[in-house]
Amino acid sequence: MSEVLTYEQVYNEYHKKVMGYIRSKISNSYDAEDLLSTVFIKVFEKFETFDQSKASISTWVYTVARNTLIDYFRVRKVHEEISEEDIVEEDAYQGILDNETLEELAASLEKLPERERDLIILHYYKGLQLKEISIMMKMSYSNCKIVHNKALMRLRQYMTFE
Amino acid sequence: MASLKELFDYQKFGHNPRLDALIRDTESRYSMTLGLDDLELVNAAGSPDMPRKSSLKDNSDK
Repeated sequence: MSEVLTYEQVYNEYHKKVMGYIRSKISNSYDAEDLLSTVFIKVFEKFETFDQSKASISTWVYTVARNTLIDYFRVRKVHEEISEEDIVEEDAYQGILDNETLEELAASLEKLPERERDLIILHYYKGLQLKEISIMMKMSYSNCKIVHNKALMRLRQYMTFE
Repeated sequence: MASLKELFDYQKFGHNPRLDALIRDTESRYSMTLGLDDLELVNAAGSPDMPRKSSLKDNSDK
């Protein structure tokens, strides 16, 4: 049975990860600090009601951070890196997003040909459009779409995606 | 079940080392910034013949 963490332990363990995640989305360091505080205020307010035996603390903290960022972009009416449709109920990711799943993704990506793996990472992690990627990878746009589809089909053989 | 997009977004939080290594490996091969000539190509529609360049980093006309 895993140890039940205190709020202080959660803060110590996750505040750097949350800040890293926030800074991957926004460059303003002052806003980032504010958002970090907002995230952990929300975590503190809901901490007593969060059942650590049933859900992953990591996924929960991540979801709070993610939704906080969505609110930030919405208030500022700037181009959103995360659309409002991506807002997730804070307990909806239980057991789905965790290091084990990331390990599975890594193992699956390692099986891909390098070109396909690069395309997937450039598109889904770096957020580049396929048209931009086609130029970077020196292929036609139509071929890039074909390679993208092939990569997705291969990944679906190794993992289950919606 | 999480989508690919969701998993990669979570990676920005979780920083799985194995995935980080793959990401760094990809980044080492590709400049994240497109040159002016390449930016024009992004806007060009239906261009079947992509110009060949010896190096992604060399964007200046010789």
